[in-house]
Amino acid sequence: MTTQELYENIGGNYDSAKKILQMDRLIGKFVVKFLDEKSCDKLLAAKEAGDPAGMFEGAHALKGVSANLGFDRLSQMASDIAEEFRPGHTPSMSPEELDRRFAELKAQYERTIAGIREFAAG
Amino acid sequence: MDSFSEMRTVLVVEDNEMNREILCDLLMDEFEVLQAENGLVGLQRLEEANGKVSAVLLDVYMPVCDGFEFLERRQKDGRFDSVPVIMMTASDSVDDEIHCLEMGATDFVTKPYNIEVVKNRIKSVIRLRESAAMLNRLERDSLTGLYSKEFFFHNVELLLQGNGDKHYDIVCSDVDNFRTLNEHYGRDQCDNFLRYLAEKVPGIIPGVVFGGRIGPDVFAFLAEHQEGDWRELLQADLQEGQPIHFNLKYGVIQDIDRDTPVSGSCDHATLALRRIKGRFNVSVAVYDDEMRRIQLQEHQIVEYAEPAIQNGEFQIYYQPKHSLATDTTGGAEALVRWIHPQLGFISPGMFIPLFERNGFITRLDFYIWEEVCRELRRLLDGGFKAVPISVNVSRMDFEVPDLAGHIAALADRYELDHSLLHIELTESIYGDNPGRIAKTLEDLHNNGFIIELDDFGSGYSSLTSLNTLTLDVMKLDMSIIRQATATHDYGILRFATLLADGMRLKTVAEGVETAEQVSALKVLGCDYIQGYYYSKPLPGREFEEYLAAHCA
Repeated sequence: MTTQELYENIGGNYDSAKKILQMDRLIGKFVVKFLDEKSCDKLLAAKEAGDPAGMFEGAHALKGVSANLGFDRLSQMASDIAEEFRPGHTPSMSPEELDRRFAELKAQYERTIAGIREFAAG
Repeated sequence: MDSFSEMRTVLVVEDNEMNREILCDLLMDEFEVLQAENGLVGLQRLEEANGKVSAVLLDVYMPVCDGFEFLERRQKDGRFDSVPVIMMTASDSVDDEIHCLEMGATDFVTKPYNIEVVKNRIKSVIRLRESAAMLNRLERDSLTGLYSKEFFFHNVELLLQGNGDKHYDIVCSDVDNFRTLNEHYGRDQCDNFLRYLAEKVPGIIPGVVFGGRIGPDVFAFLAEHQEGDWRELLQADLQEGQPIHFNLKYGVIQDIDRDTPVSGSCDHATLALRRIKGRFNVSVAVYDDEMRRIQLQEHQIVEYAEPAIQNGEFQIYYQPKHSLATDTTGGAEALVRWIHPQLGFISPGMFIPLFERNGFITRLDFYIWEEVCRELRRLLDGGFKAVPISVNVSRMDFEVPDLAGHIAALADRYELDHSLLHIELTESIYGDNPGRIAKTLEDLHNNGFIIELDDFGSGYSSLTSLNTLTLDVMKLDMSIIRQATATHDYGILRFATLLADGMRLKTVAEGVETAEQVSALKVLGCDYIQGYYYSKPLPGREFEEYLAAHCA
């Protein structure tokens, strides 16, 4: 599987990754590292614990990392959640909407991870 | 944008390991990259790097110590104010960006970053900072805080333009024998001393506007024009409480001419100042018509110098050195005379300092060496007994790369034994660049040339130079010989010969005029005598005749 095919599979934006990382080799290298990236786990754990500060931190980190890798959809989802919990911001989402957003994010994350695993396996 | 010729160091402060790694990977082909996972570690890295970090890339949100706190601590600390910080912010957080800029961040890049943008931002903040630092360095002299030379001139010109009807004077100050002080007290103490002067001198100049450091120990101050006599206005004594004993001279030019460049006005003031150097009872000189005349003359001398070499106006005279051991002529010193077709006889005391200042002295010295080699060749070819001839070297000659090699090549061209050429240097050159001078003398010595230390006892003597320079001969200055015979106290003279003896140096006594002096020097064990008692300096032809008569 080429990196381009990987991006197609997981709904990422290869062009934007290429713009940031410049080289296909670097994209491949860092995409695989995303498997060890813990920010999404932190975000989901904070959600379980009902910890708004933790949710901001986790979402903010996930947003940054996934943006760097051109995982635009994942990054946008994380960004929406980060804004909701940004310190000083009054929460506006209903609990139902929040659950929905988290479910979407989790699904997108899992899809991404699955895609990368497949890519890494060759 | 071009890359820097030398790799600059960038510190990346970012908590997310992956983001950090990506950044480092992308930057490392153009920068040395340091990493920190939060603001506290970042500050620690800055401290460890000891001024090496040229820019910081700083994430905003981090656990432990975030970007804002980093900026706040950096501001309070103050040491790293000049290191530019580029914030990495999300595209949608304008408030953060403004906040960061308010707290002293230099620039920001938004995530996700385009690496070309990031690199160019880094380069441009580094360039900005480095050129600002350079500008600052040039504007203020880092030691004294006075304006640098260029900025002083520039600011005086600006002020003159802006105040068309006002009149100003310039006062220059200079420390007598600063080089000797530097040698005696050491660099650190002399630096403190210069700072002290830069602080105190403006306080005693009436109407002072501002000052600049225009030479190592020369300051210039612009002052509103004073009607009074500057010789009386500048009488305050700054010596009290100052560990270094010094003699400060002032040169003043009054009512400076707006059409003369400021550097020219300062030249006038320092010219006045130079007229009183070394004179203990005078500390202020004002530039006047007499000085204008001298200056014109100096200007002519400098201008006539090169044609004078071409026309053979510089003539070499040889003053014999009489050997007391053999009672024959044992050598000679080459001395230069200049007779100009219009100006007439020009004293070496006049032209040598000028040539030392503009560098022409090296040209003249090489000319003299060549003439001396020619003379020695003529002596050998004419069947005379050739005696060693000593030639003076100036401090500027030591700037010539491989001086020893040049002189050796010259002597070889005339097929002369190197021991026939002696090199005379005055001790006062030692303070300039001791390492280089010591090395060059060693080279000369190893090439077989004989090194003579001139003017021993003339006031510049220091035991350091005796100890560190490769020497063969010590020349006793005529002042200690005159003083000894005048007072019948031979103590210093005896000490000098004992010292020379202990260091296995031959001694030459200069300026010997009487039989009494000769017999005293004989008793003290002096090796050679130079002076009118035996002979005045002689032109080449007469010198040859003298040798024939005294060197059988």
